[in-house]
Amino acid sequence: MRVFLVQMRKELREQWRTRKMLIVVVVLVAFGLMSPVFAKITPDLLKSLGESQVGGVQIIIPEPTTRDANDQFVKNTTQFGLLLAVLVGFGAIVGERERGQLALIFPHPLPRRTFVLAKFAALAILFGAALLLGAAADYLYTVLLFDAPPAGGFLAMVALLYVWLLSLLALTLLASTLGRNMTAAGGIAFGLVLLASLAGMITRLAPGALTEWGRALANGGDTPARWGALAVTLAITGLAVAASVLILERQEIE
Amino acid sequence: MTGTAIEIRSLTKRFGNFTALKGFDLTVPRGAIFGFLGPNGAGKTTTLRIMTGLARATSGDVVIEGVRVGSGQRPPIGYLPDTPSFYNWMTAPEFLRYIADLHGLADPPIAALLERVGLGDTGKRKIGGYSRGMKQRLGLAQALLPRPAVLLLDEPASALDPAGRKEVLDIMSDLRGELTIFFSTHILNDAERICDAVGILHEGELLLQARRDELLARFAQPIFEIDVAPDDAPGLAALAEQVRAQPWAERVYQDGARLRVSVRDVPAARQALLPMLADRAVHRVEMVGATLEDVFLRLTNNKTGATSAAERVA
Repeated sequence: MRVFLVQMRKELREQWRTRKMLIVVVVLVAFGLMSPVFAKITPDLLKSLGESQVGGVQIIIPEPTTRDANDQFVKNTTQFGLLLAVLVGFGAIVGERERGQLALIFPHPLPRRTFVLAKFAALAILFGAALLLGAAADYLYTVLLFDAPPAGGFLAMVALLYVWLLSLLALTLLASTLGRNMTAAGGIAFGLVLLASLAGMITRLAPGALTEWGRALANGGDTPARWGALAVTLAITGLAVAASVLILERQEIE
Repeated sequence: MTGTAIEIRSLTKRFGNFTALKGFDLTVPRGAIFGFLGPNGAGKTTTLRIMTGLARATSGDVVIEGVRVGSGQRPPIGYLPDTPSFYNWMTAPEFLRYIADLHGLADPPIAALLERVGLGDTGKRKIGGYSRGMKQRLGLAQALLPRPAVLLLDEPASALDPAGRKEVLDIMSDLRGELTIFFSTHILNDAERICDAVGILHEGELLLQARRDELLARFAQPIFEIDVAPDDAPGLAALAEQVRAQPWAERVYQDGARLRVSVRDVPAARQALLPMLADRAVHRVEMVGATLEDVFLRLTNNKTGATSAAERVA
Protein backbone atom coordinates (compact mmCIF):
# COMPACT_ATOMS: atom_id res chain seq x y z
CA MET A 1 0.00 0.00 0.00
CA ARG A 2 2.88 2.37 0.83
CA VAL A 3 4.50 1.86 -2.59
CA PHE A 4 1.11 2.25 -4.26
CA LEU A 5 0.62 5.63 -2.57
CA VAL A 6 4.17 6.73 -3.48
CA GLN A 7 3.58 5.78 -7.10
CA MET A 8 0.14 7.38 -7.26
CA ARG A 9 1.53 10.60 -5.80
CA LYS A 10 4.20 10.57 -8.51
CA GLU A 11 1.53 10.06 -11.18
CA LEU A 12 -0.61 12.92 -9.87
CA ARG A 13 2.40 15.22 -9.69
CA GLU A 14 3.29 14.29 -13.23
CA GLN A 15 -0.24 15.13 -14.38
CA TRP A 16 0.08 18.50 -12.67
CA ARG A 17 3.59 19.35 -13.89
CA THR A 18 2.97 18.25 -17.48
CA ARG A 19 -0.32 20.25 -17.59
CA LYS A 20 -2.41 17.13 -18.29
CA MET A 21 -4.44 17.87 -15.19
CA LEU A 22 -5.09 21.42 -16.30
CA ILE A 23 -6.14 20.38 -19.80
CA VAL A 24 -8.61 17.70 -18.66
CA VAL A 25 -10.15 19.93 -15.99
CA VAL A 26 -10.41 22.99 -18.25
CA VAL A 27 -11.99 21.05 -21.13
CA LEU A 28 -14.57 19.24 -18.98
CA VAL A 29 -15.42 22.35 -16.94
CA ALA A 30 -15.67 24.46 -20.10
CA PHE A 31 -18.13 22.05 -21.67
CA GLY A 32 -19.97 21.80 -18.35
CA LEU A 33 -20.41 25.57 -18.40
CA MET A 34 -21.28 25.77 -22.06
CA SER A 35 -23.82 22.95 -22.19
CA PRO A 36 -26.75 24.88 -20.65
CA VAL A 37 -25.71 28.03 -22.50
CA PHE A 38 -25.72 26.18 -25.82
CA ALA A 39 -29.11 24.68 -24.97
CA LYS A 40 -30.43 28.17 -24.22
CA ILE A 41 -29.12 29.97 -27.29
CA THR A 42 -29.48 27.24 -29.93
CA PRO A 43 -33.15 28.05 -30.72
CA ASP A 44 -32.30 31.78 -30.97
CA LEU A 45 -29.40 30.96 -33.27
CA LEU A 46 -31.61 28.86 -35.51
CA LYS A 47 -34.26 31.56 -35.55
CA SER A 48 -31.77 34.23 -36.54
CA LEU A 49 -30.35 32.05 -39.28
CA GLY A 50 -33.56 30.97 -40.97
CA GLU A 51 -36.28 33.24 -39.60
CA SER A 52 -37.93 29.93 -38.66
CA GLN A 53 -38.99 29.50 -42.23
CA VAL A 54 -37.35 27.42 -44.95
CA GLY A 55 -39.02 27.32 -48.37
CA GLY A 56 -42.32 28.41 -47.01
CA VAL A 57 -42.29 25.70 -44.34
CA GLN A 58 -42.43 27.13 -40.87
CA ILE A 59 -40.15 25.41 -38.35
CA ILE A 60 -41.45 25.50 -34.84
CA ILE A 61 -38.59 25.51 -32.35
CA PRO A 62 -39.81 24.70 -28.86
CA GLU A 63 -38.60 26.68 -25.89
CA PRO A 64 -35.45 25.04 -24.44
CA THR A 65 -35.77 23.32 -21.08
CA THR A 66 -33.65 21.65 -18.41
CA ARG A 67 -33.92 18.47 -20.44
CA ASP A 68 -32.09 20.14 -23.35
CA ALA A 69 -29.32 21.31 -21.00
CA ASN A 70 -28.90 17.77 -19.64
CA ASP A 71 -28.88 16.30 -23.14
CA GLN A 72 -26.25 18.81 -24.20
CA PHE A 73 -24.09 18.00 -21.14
CA VAL A 74 -24.22 14.24 -21.75
CA LYS A 75 -23.43 14.72 -25.43
CA ASN A 76 -20.46 17.04 -24.81
CA THR A 77 -19.05 15.03 -21.91
CA THR A 78 -19.21 11.72 -23.73
CA GLN A 79 -17.62 13.15 -26.88
CA PHE A 80 -14.83 15.08 -25.22
CA GLY A 81 -14.44 12.68 -22.29
CA LEU A 82 -13.79 9.87 -24.76
CA LEU A 83 -11.26 11.94 -26.68
CA LEU A 84 -9.47 13.07 -23.52
CA ALA A 85 -9.41 9.58 -22.01
CA VAL A 86 -7.69 8.19 -25.09
CA LEU A 87 -5.32 11.12 -25.60
CA VAL A 88 -4.24 11.33 -21.96
CA GLY A 89 -4.12 7.58 -21.34
CA PHE A 90 -2.68 5.88 -24.40
CA GLY A 91 0.95 6.85 -23.73
CA ALA A 92 0.83 6.19 -19.98
CA ILE A 93 2.73 2.88 -20.03
CA VAL A 94 4.12 2.50 -23.53
CA GLY A 95 5.62 6.01 -23.30
CA GLU A 96 7.62 5.18 -20.19
CA ARG A 97 8.69 1.86 -21.69
CA GLU A 98 9.74 3.47 -24.97
CA ARG A 99 11.68 6.25 -23.28
CA GLY A 100 13.53 3.76 -21.05
CA GLN A 101 12.10 5.04 -17.76
CA LEU A 102 10.76 1.61 -16.84
CA ALA A 103 14.26 0.12 -17.14
CA LEU A 104 15.39 2.65 -14.56
CA ILE A 105 12.57 2.28 -12.02
CA PHE A 106 11.56 -1.41 -12.20
CA PRO A 107 14.81 -2.67 -10.64
CA HIS A 108 13.72 -0.65 -7.57
CA PRO A 109 11.05 -2.19 -5.31
CA LEU A 110 8.13 -1.18 -7.53
CA PRO A 111 5.99 -4.21 -8.46
CA ARG A 112 4.59 -3.95 -11.96
CA ARG A 113 1.09 -4.65 -10.61
CA THR A 114 1.40 -1.61 -8.31
CA PHE A 115 2.68 0.47 -11.22
CA VAL A 116 -0.40 -0.29 -13.35
CA LEU A 117 -2.88 0.11 -10.50
CA ALA A 118 -1.36 3.47 -9.52
CA LYS A 119 -1.55 4.65 -13.13
CA PHE A 120 -5.21 3.70 -13.32
CA ALA A 121 -6.02 5.19 -9.92
CA ALA A 122 -4.36 8.50 -10.82
CA LEU A 123 -6.26 8.69 -14.12
CA ALA A 124 -9.48 7.78 -12.32
CA ILE A 125 -8.90 10.56 -9.78
CA LEU A 126 -8.14 13.10 -12.48
CA PHE A 127 -11.18 12.30 -14.61
CA GLY A 128 -13.39 11.94 -11.54
CA ALA A 129 -12.42 15.38 -10.24
CA ALA A 130 -12.70 17.00 -13.67
CA LEU A 131 -16.10 15.40 -14.29
CA LEU A 132 -17.36 16.54 -10.88
CA LEU A 133 -16.22 20.11 -11.51
CA GLY A 134 -17.71 20.06 -15.00
CA ALA A 135 -21.00 18.69 -13.63
CA ALA A 136 -21.05 21.33 -10.89
CA ALA A 137 -20.53 24.06 -13.49
CA ASP A 138 -23.27 22.56 -15.65
CA TYR A 139 -25.68 22.29 -12.71
CA LEU A 140 -25.02 25.89 -11.67
CA TYR A 141 -25.69 27.32 -15.14
CA THR A 142 -28.68 25.05 -15.64
CA VAL A 143 -30.21 26.41 -12.42
CA LEU A 144 -29.48 29.96 -13.57
CA LEU A 145 -30.92 29.54 -17.05
CA PHE A 146 -33.62 26.87 -16.53
CA ASP A 147 -35.30 24.96 -13.74
CA ALA A 148 -33.08 22.90 -11.47
CA PRO A 149 -32.86 19.25 -12.55
CA PRO A 150 -33.72 16.64 -9.89
CA ALA A 151 -30.58 16.49 -7.74
CA GLY A 152 -30.72 12.72 -7.22
CA GLY A 153 -31.19 12.01 -10.92
CA PHE A 154 -28.45 14.46 -11.85
CA LEU A 155 -25.98 12.86 -9.42
CA ALA A 156 -26.89 9.41 -10.72
CA MET A 157 -26.18 10.65 -14.25
CA VAL A 158 -22.74 11.94 -13.20
CA ALA A 159 -21.96 8.65 -11.45
CA LEU A 160 -22.97 6.64 -14.53
CA LEU A 161 -20.92 8.89 -16.80
CA TYR A 162 -17.97 8.31 -14.48
CA VAL A 163 -18.33 4.52 -14.61
CA TRP A 164 -18.50 4.78 -18.41
CA LEU A 165 -15.34 6.97 -18.44
CA LEU A 166 -13.51 4.49 -16.17
CA SER A 167 -14.13 1.72 -18.69
CA LEU A 168 -12.61 3.87 -21.44
CA LEU A 169 -9.59 4.67 -19.26
CA ALA A 170 -9.08 0.98 -18.48
CA LEU A 171 -9.30 0.04 -22.16
CA THR A 172 -6.86 2.82 -23.05
CA LEU A 173 -4.44 1.63 -20.36
CA LEU A 174 -4.70 -1.88 -21.76
CA ALA A 175 -3.84 -0.50 -25.20
CA SER A 176 -0.88 1.31 -23.68
CA THR A 177 0.40 -1.97 -22.24
CA LEU A 178 -0.22 -3.94 -25.43
CA GLY A 179 1.28 -1.46 -27.90
CA ARG A 180 4.94 -1.90 -28.79
CA ASN A 181 5.22 1.83 -29.47
CA MET A 182 3.18 4.99 -29.06
CA THR A 183 1.65 4.82 -32.54
CA ALA A 184 0.53 1.22 -32.08
CA ALA A 185 -0.83 1.97 -28.59
CA GLY A 186 -2.78 4.97 -29.93
CA GLY A 187 -4.25 2.83 -32.72
CA ILE A 188 -5.23 0.02 -30.36
CA ALA A 189 -6.75 2.52 -27.89
CA PHE A 190 -8.94 4.14 -30.54
CA GLY A 191 -9.85 0.70 -31.86
CA LEU A 192 -10.93 -0.63 -28.45
CA VAL A 193 -12.89 2.51 -27.59
CA LEU A 194 -14.55 2.51 -31.00
CA LEU A 195 -15.46 -1.15 -30.51
CA ALA A 196 -17.00 -0.38 -27.12
CA SER A 197 -18.97 2.50 -28.65
CA LEU A 198 -20.18 0.43 -31.62
CA ALA A 199 -21.28 -2.33 -29.26
CA GLY A 200 -23.84 0.14 -27.95
CA MET A 201 -25.66 -0.09 -31.29
CA ILE A 202 -25.97 -3.86 -31.02
CA THR A 203 -26.68 -4.50 -27.36
CA ARG A 204 -28.12 -2.64 -24.40
CA LEU A 205 -25.46 -4.26 -22.24
CA ALA A 206 -22.67 -2.13 -23.75
CA PRO A 207 -21.09 0.71 -21.71
CA GLY A 208 -22.79 3.30 -23.95
CA ALA A 209 -26.18 2.33 -22.46
CA LEU A 210 -25.06 3.93 -19.17
CA THR A 211 -24.95 7.41 -20.69
CA GLU A 212 -28.52 7.01 -22.00
CA TRP A 213 -29.66 5.72 -18.63
CA GLY A 214 -27.98 8.64 -16.87
CA ARG A 215 -29.59 11.16 -19.22
CA ALA A 216 -33.01 9.68 -18.56
CA LEU A 217 -32.46 9.75 -14.78
CA ALA A 218 -31.37 13.41 -14.88
CA ASN A 219 -34.44 14.29 -16.92
CA GLY A 220 -36.63 12.67 -14.32
CA GLY A 221 -38.23 10.39 -16.87
CA ASP A 222 -39.45 6.90 -16.37
CA THR A 223 -36.79 4.69 -17.87
CA PRO A 224 -35.82 1.06 -17.45
CA ALA A 225 -32.72 0.52 -15.34
CA ARG A 226 -29.67 -0.76 -17.16
CA TRP A 227 -28.12 -2.81 -14.40
CA GLY A 228 -26.82 -5.28 -16.94
CA ALA A 229 -24.88 -2.54 -18.74
CA LEU A 230 -23.51 -1.33 -15.40
CA ALA A 231 -22.29 -4.83 -14.53
CA VAL A 232 -20.75 -5.31 -17.98
CA THR A 233 -19.01 -1.92 -17.85
CA LEU A 234 -17.57 -2.61 -14.40
CA ALA A 235 -16.45 -6.04 -15.60
CA ILE A 236 -14.78 -4.54 -18.68
CA THR A 237 -12.97 -2.05 -16.44
CA GLY A 238 -11.77 -4.70 -14.01
CA LEU A 239 -10.75 -7.14 -16.72
CA ALA A 240 -8.90 -4.50 -18.74
CA VAL A 241 -6.88 -3.39 -15.69
CA ALA A 242 -6.18 -7.01 -14.71
CA ALA A 243 -5.09 -7.80 -18.27
CA SER A 244 -2.75 -4.78 -18.23
CA VAL A 245 -1.15 -6.10 -15.03
CA LEU A 246 -0.72 -9.62 -16.40
CA ILE A 247 0.68 -8.42 -19.71
CA LEU A 248 3.14 -5.99 -18.14
CA GLU A 249 4.30 -8.65 -15.67
CA ARG A 250 5.17 -10.93 -18.59
CA GLN A 251 6.83 -8.28 -20.72
CA GLU A 252 10.59 -7.94 -20.98
CA ILE A 253 11.67 -4.35 -20.52
CA GLU A 254 14.26 -2.90 -22.91
CA MET B 1 34.44 -8.67 2.45
CA THR B 2 34.66 -12.32 1.54
CA GLY B 3 32.41 -14.78 -0.20
CA THR B 4 30.44 -14.64 -3.40
CA ALA B 5 28.35 -11.63 -4.40
CA ILE B 6 27.11 -12.86 -7.78
CA GLU B 7 26.76 -16.38 -9.07
CA ILE B 8 25.57 -17.07 -12.59
CA ARG B 9 24.87 -20.67 -13.52
CA SER B 10 24.31 -21.97 -17.07
CA LEU B 11 22.72 -18.71 -18.14
CA THR B 12 20.99 -19.08 -21.48
CA LYS B 13 18.86 -16.62 -23.37
CA ARG B 14 17.23 -17.26 -26.72
CA PHE B 15 15.35 -14.81 -28.90
CA GLY B 16 13.53 -17.07 -31.35
CA ASN B 17 16.23 -19.00 -33.20
CA PHE B 18 19.01 -16.70 -32.02
CA THR B 19 20.89 -17.70 -28.89
CA ALA B 20 22.18 -14.54 -27.24
CA LEU B 21 23.66 -16.24 -24.15
CA LYS B 22 25.01 -19.75 -24.48
CA GLY B 23 24.81 -21.16 -20.98
CA PHE B 24 27.77 -19.61 -19.20
CA ASP B 25 28.81 -19.68 -15.56
CA LEU B 26 30.32 -16.74 -13.73
CA THR B 27 31.24 -15.96 -10.14
CA VAL B 28 31.99 -12.52 -8.76
CA PRO B 29 33.65 -12.27 -5.37
CA ARG B 30 32.14 -9.91 -2.81
CA GLY B 31 33.73 -6.45 -2.81
CA ALA B 32 35.27 -6.76 -6.28
CA ILE B 33 35.06 -4.26 -9.09
CA PHE B 34 34.28 -6.67 -11.88
CA GLY B 35 34.58 -5.68 -15.52
CA PHE B 36 32.25 -7.57 -17.84
CA LEU B 37 33.98 -7.12 -21.17
CA GLY B 38 32.89 -7.83 -24.67
CA PRO B 39 32.35 -6.22 -28.03
CA ASN B 40 28.99 -4.74 -28.94
CA GLY B 41 26.42 -7.50 -29.35
CA ALA B 42 28.29 -9.97 -27.13
CA GLY B 43 25.34 -10.29 -24.74
CA LYS B 44 26.47 -7.98 -21.91
CA THR B 45 23.27 -5.92 -21.73
CA THR B 46 21.10 -9.02 -22.03
CA THR B 47 22.97 -10.51 -19.06
CA LEU B 48 22.48 -7.35 -17.01
CA ARG B 49 18.79 -7.16 -17.91
CA ILE B 50 18.36 -10.71 -16.62
CA MET B 51 20.33 -9.87 -13.47
CA THR B 52 18.00 -6.95 -12.77
CA GLY B 53 14.81 -8.87 -13.49
CA LEU B 54 13.94 -6.73 -16.52
CA ALA B 55 14.23 -9.83 -18.71
CA ARG B 56 13.89 -13.55 -18.03
CA ALA B 57 16.48 -16.20 -18.73
CA THR B 58 15.50 -19.05 -21.04
CA SER B 59 17.33 -21.30 -18.59
CA GLY B 60 19.91 -20.99 -15.86
CA ASP B 61 20.08 -19.00 -12.64
CA VAL B 62 21.41 -15.74 -11.33
CA VAL B 63 21.95 -15.52 -7.59
CA ILE B 64 22.89 -12.15 -6.10
CA GLU B 65 23.87 -12.03 -2.44
CA GLY B 66 22.08 -15.32 -1.87
CA VAL B 67 18.85 -14.20 -3.55
CA ARG B 68 17.84 -15.92 -6.78
CA VAL B 69 16.68 -13.37 -9.34
CA GLY B 70 13.05 -14.02 -10.27
CA SER B 71 12.28 -15.84 -7.01
CA GLY B 72 9.89 -13.11 -5.86
CA GLN B 73 12.41 -11.70 -3.43
CA ARG B 74 14.32 -8.63 -4.58
CA PRO B 75 18.12 -8.91 -4.47
CA PRO B 76 19.98 -5.95 -2.89
CA ILE B 77 21.00 -4.30 -6.15
CA GLY B 78 21.39 -0.84 -7.57
CA TYR B 79 21.22 -0.60 -11.36
CA LEU B 80 22.25 1.96 -13.92
CA PRO B 81 21.16 1.28 -17.52
CA ASP B 82 23.45 2.37 -20.35
CA THR B 83 21.41 5.48 -21.17
CA PRO B 84 19.32 6.26 -18.09
CA SER B 85 16.05 7.99 -18.86
CA PHE B 86 14.48 10.07 -16.09
CA TYR B 87 11.25 12.00 -15.60
CA ASN B 88 12.36 15.25 -17.15
CA TRP B 89 9.84 17.31 -15.18
CA MET B 90 11.50 16.36 -11.87
CA THR B 91 14.55 17.90 -10.27
CA ALA B 92 17.39 15.62 -9.12
CA PRO B 93 16.41 15.83 -5.41
CA GLU B 94 12.78 15.11 -6.32
CA PHE B 95 13.76 12.04 -8.31
CA LEU B 96 15.98 10.71 -5.52
CA ARG B 97 13.20 11.42 -2.99
CA TYR B 98 10.83 9.37 -5.17
CA ILE B 99 13.31 6.47 -5.30
CA ALA B 100 13.88 6.74 -1.53
CA ASP B 101 10.12 6.61 -0.96
CA LEU B 102 9.85 3.45 -3.10
CA HIS B 103 12.47 1.89 -0.81
CA GLY B 104 10.78 3.27 2.29
CA LEU B 105 13.89 5.15 3.40
CA ALA B 106 12.97 7.53 6.19
CA ASP B 107 15.99 9.82 6.08
CA PRO B 108 17.76 9.30 2.76
CA PRO B 109 21.13 11.05 2.31
CA ILE B 110 20.00 12.86 -0.84
CA ALA B 111 22.09 16.03 -0.50
CA ALA B 112 25.25 14.08 0.42
CA LEU B 113 24.77 11.69 -2.48
CA LEU B 114 24.22 14.49 -4.98
CA GLU B 115 27.37 16.13 -3.63
CA ARG B 116 29.27 12.87 -4.04
CA VAL B 117 28.35 12.56 -7.72
CA GLY B 118 29.04 16.23 -8.39
CA LEU B 119 25.43 17.39 -8.67
CA GLY B 120 25.27 19.30 -5.41
CA ASP B 121 24.67 22.66 -7.04
CA THR B 122 21.89 21.83 -9.51
CA GLY B 123 19.22 23.41 -7.29
CA LYS B 124 15.78 23.48 -8.85
CA ARG B 125 17.00 22.75 -12.35
CA LYS B 126 14.83 20.16 -14.09
CA ILE B 127 16.49 16.88 -15.16
CA GLY B 128 15.31 17.57 -18.72
CA GLY B 129 18.00 20.25 -18.95
CA TYR B 130 20.85 18.00 -17.82
CA SER B 131 23.76 16.98 -20.03
CA ARG B 132 24.38 13.31 -20.73
CA GLY B 133 27.21 13.22 -18.20
CA MET B 134 25.01 14.76 -15.52
CA LYS B 135 22.29 12.21 -16.20
CA GLN B 136 24.83 9.42 -15.92
CA ARG B 137 25.99 10.75 -12.55
CA LEU B 138 22.40 11.11 -11.36
CA GLY B 139 21.88 7.53 -12.55
CA LEU B 140 24.75 6.47 -10.31
CA ALA B 141 23.21 8.38 -7.41
CA GLN B 142 19.82 6.67 -7.77
CA ALA B 143 21.54 3.28 -7.97
CA LEU B 144 23.55 4.02 -4.82
CA LEU B 145 20.71 5.59 -2.82
CA PRO B 146 19.32 2.38 -1.24
CA ARG B 147 22.89 1.40 -0.25
CA PRO B 148 22.88 -1.78 -2.35
CA ALA B 149 25.29 -4.62 -1.74
CA VAL B 150 25.80 -5.00 -5.48
CA LEU B 151 25.94 -2.21 -8.04
CA LEU B 152 25.15 -3.26 -11.61
CA LEU B 153 26.24 -0.78 -14.27
CA ASP B 154 25.66 -1.16 -17.99
CA GLU B 155 28.33 0.68 -19.98
CA PRO B 156 28.41 3.45 -17.36
CA ALA B 157 30.97 5.60 -19.14
CA SER B 158 30.94 4.46 -22.74
CA ALA B 159 28.79 7.25 -24.16
CA LEU B 160 30.52 10.07 -22.30
CA ASP B 161 33.22 12.48 -23.38
CA PRO B 162 36.69 11.97 -21.83
CA ALA B 163 36.01 14.36 -18.94
CA GLY B 164 32.64 12.76 -18.17
CA ARG B 165 34.17 9.30 -18.41
CA LYS B 166 36.89 10.20 -15.95
CA GLU B 167 34.35 11.59 -13.50
CA VAL B 168 32.21 8.45 -13.57
CA LEU B 169 35.22 6.12 -13.33
CA ASP B 170 36.58 8.14 -10.42
CA ILE B 171 33.29 7.80 -8.56
CA MET B 172 33.29 4.05 -9.20
CA SER B 173 36.88 3.79 -8.06
CA ASP B 174 36.04 5.70 -4.86
CA LEU B 175 33.40 3.08 -4.08
CA ARG B 176 36.01 0.33 -3.93
CA GLY B 177 35.62 -1.67 -0.75
CA GLU B 178 32.13 -0.36 0.00
CA LEU B 179 30.21 -2.75 -2.24
CA THR B 180 30.53 -5.10 -5.19
CA ILE B 181 30.52 -3.40 -8.59
CA PHE B 182 29.68 -5.35 -11.73
CA PHE B 183 29.95 -3.24 -14.84
CA SER B 184 29.87 -3.98 -18.51
CA THR B 185 32.03 -2.14 -20.99
CA HIS B 186 33.55 -2.46 -24.41
CA ILE B 187 36.13 0.20 -23.55
CA LEU B 188 39.02 -1.88 -22.31
CA ASN B 189 41.04 1.03 -20.96
CA ASP B 190 38.22 1.77 -18.52
CA ALA B 191 38.24 -1.80 -17.28
CA GLU B 192 42.00 -1.88 -17.01
CA ARG B 193 41.94 1.31 -14.99
CA ILE B 194 39.61 0.27 -12.19
CA CYS B 195 38.82 -3.46 -12.33
CA ASP B 196 40.03 -6.08 -9.89
CA ALA B 197 38.69 -8.91 -12.00
CA VAL B 198 37.24 -9.33 -15.46
CA GLY B 199 35.14 -11.70 -17.49
CA ILE B 200 35.28 -11.66 -21.27
CA LEU B 201 32.06 -12.40 -23.10
CA HIS B 202 32.04 -13.05 -26.82
CA GLU B 203 29.01 -14.01 -28.86
CA GLY B 204 27.18 -15.18 -25.76
CA GLU B 205 30.04 -17.31 -24.45
CA LEU B 206 32.24 -16.48 -21.51
CA LEU B 207 35.78 -16.87 -22.83
CA LEU B 208 37.40 -16.48 -19.44
CA GLN B 209 37.08 -15.04 -16.00
CA ALA B 210 40.09 -14.08 -13.90
CA ARG B 211 41.66 -11.48 -11.66
CA ARG B 212 43.02 -8.73 -13.84
CA ASP B 213 46.63 -9.07 -12.63
CA GLU B 214 46.60 -12.85 -13.04
CA LEU B 215 45.17 -12.44 -16.50
CA LEU B 216 47.83 -10.00 -17.61
CA ALA B 217 50.53 -12.22 -16.12
CA ARG B 218 49.10 -15.33 -17.76
CA PHE B 219 48.95 -13.71 -21.15
CA ALA B 220 52.07 -11.64 -20.67
CA GLN B 221 53.88 -11.46 -23.93
CA PRO B 222 56.42 -8.91 -25.06
CA ILE B 223 54.93 -6.32 -27.34
CA PHE B 224 56.76 -3.85 -29.54
CA GLU B 225 54.89 -0.60 -29.90
CA ILE B 226 55.85 1.48 -32.92
CA ASP B 227 54.58 5.03 -33.41
CA VAL B 228 55.14 6.67 -36.80
CA ALA B 229 54.48 10.21 -38.00
CA PRO B 230 50.81 10.71 -38.89
CA ASP B 231 51.80 11.33 -42.53
CA ASP B 232 53.38 7.90 -42.63
CA ALA B 233 50.31 6.13 -41.19
CA PRO B 234 48.92 5.05 -44.61
CA GLY B 235 52.12 3.15 -45.29
CA LEU B 236 51.86 1.35 -41.97
CA ALA B 237 49.51 -1.28 -43.37
CA ALA B 238 52.22 -2.53 -45.72
CA LEU B 239 54.67 -2.70 -42.83
CA ALA B 240 52.09 -4.59 -40.78
CA GLU B 241 51.78 -7.17 -43.55
CA GLN B 242 55.54 -7.46 -43.80
CA VAL B 243 55.88 -8.00 -40.03
CA ARG B 244 52.95 -10.43 -39.92
CA ALA B 245 54.86 -12.71 -42.31
CA GLN B 246 57.80 -12.99 -39.91
CA PRO B 247 58.13 -16.24 -37.91
CA TRP B 248 58.86 -14.36 -34.66
CA ALA B 249 55.65 -12.27 -34.90
CA GLU B 250 52.67 -13.63 -33.03
CA ARG B 251 50.11 -10.91 -33.67
CA VAL B 252 50.10 -7.50 -35.33
CA TYR B 253 47.53 -4.74 -34.68
CA GLN B 254 47.40 -1.38 -36.34
CA ASP B 255 45.62 1.49 -34.66
CA GLY B 256 46.04 4.71 -36.65
CA ALA B 257 49.71 5.66 -36.63
CA ARG B 258 50.58 2.97 -34.09
CA LEU B 259 51.59 -0.63 -34.68
CA ARG B 260 51.58 -3.16 -31.86
CA VAL B 261 53.49 -6.35 -32.50
CA SER B 262 53.34 -9.19 -29.98
CA VAL B 263 56.33 -11.46 -30.46
CA ARG B 264 57.36 -15.04 -29.72
CA ASP B 265 61.09 -14.50 -29.92
CA VAL B 266 62.32 -11.17 -28.57
CA PRO B 267 65.99 -11.31 -29.75
CA ALA B 268 64.94 -12.30 -33.26
CA ALA B 269 62.31 -9.59 -33.31
CA ARG B 270 64.73 -6.98 -32.06
CA GLN B 271 67.22 -7.93 -34.72
CA ALA B 272 64.77 -7.99 -37.60
CA LEU B 273 62.31 -5.27 -36.68
CA LEU B 274 64.62 -2.28 -36.44
CA PRO B 275 65.99 -2.63 -40.02
CA MET B 276 62.42 -2.79 -41.31
CA LEU B 277 61.79 0.64 -39.85
CA ALA B 278 64.84 2.21 -41.40
CA ASP B 279 63.08 4.24 -44.08
CA ARG B 280 60.04 5.21 -41.95
CA ALA B 281 59.40 8.40 -40.00
CA VAL B 282 59.41 6.57 -36.68
CA HIS B 283 58.65 8.59 -33.55
CA ARG B 284 58.98 5.85 -30.99
CA VAL B 285 59.78 2.15 -30.66
CA GLU B 286 59.26 0.61 -27.26
CA MET B 287 58.87 -2.83 -25.77
CA VAL B 288 55.84 -2.83 -23.46
CA GLY B 289 53.83 -5.37 -21.44
CA ALA B 290 50.51 -6.80 -22.55
CA THR B 291 47.40 -4.77 -21.83
CA LEU B 292 43.88 -5.98 -21.28
CA GLU B 293 43.19 -4.99 -24.85
CA ASP B 294 45.90 -7.34 -26.09
CA VAL B 295 44.49 -10.18 -24.02
CA PHE B 296 40.99 -9.39 -25.20
CA LEU B 297 41.99 -9.28 -28.86
CA ARG B 298 44.00 -12.45 -28.57
CA LEU B 299 41.10 -14.32 -27.02
CA THR B 300 38.38 -13.00 -29.26
CA ASN B 301 40.50 -13.33 -32.41
CA ASN B 302 41.19 -16.92 -31.51
CA LYS B 303 37.45 -17.47 -31.51
CA THR B 304 36.56 -15.75 -34.75
CA GLY B 305 39.77 -15.22 -36.71
CA ALA B 306 41.84 -12.09 -36.91
CA THR B 307 40.14 -8.78 -37.47
CA SER B 308 41.45 -5.29 -37.07
CA ALA B 309 41.80 -3.81 -33.61
CA ALA B 310 39.46 -1.01 -34.51
CA GLU B 311 36.74 -3.45 -35.57
CA ARG B 312 37.07 -5.63 -32.53
CA VAL B 313 37.26 -2.99 -29.86
CA ALA B 314 35.16 -0.13 -31.20
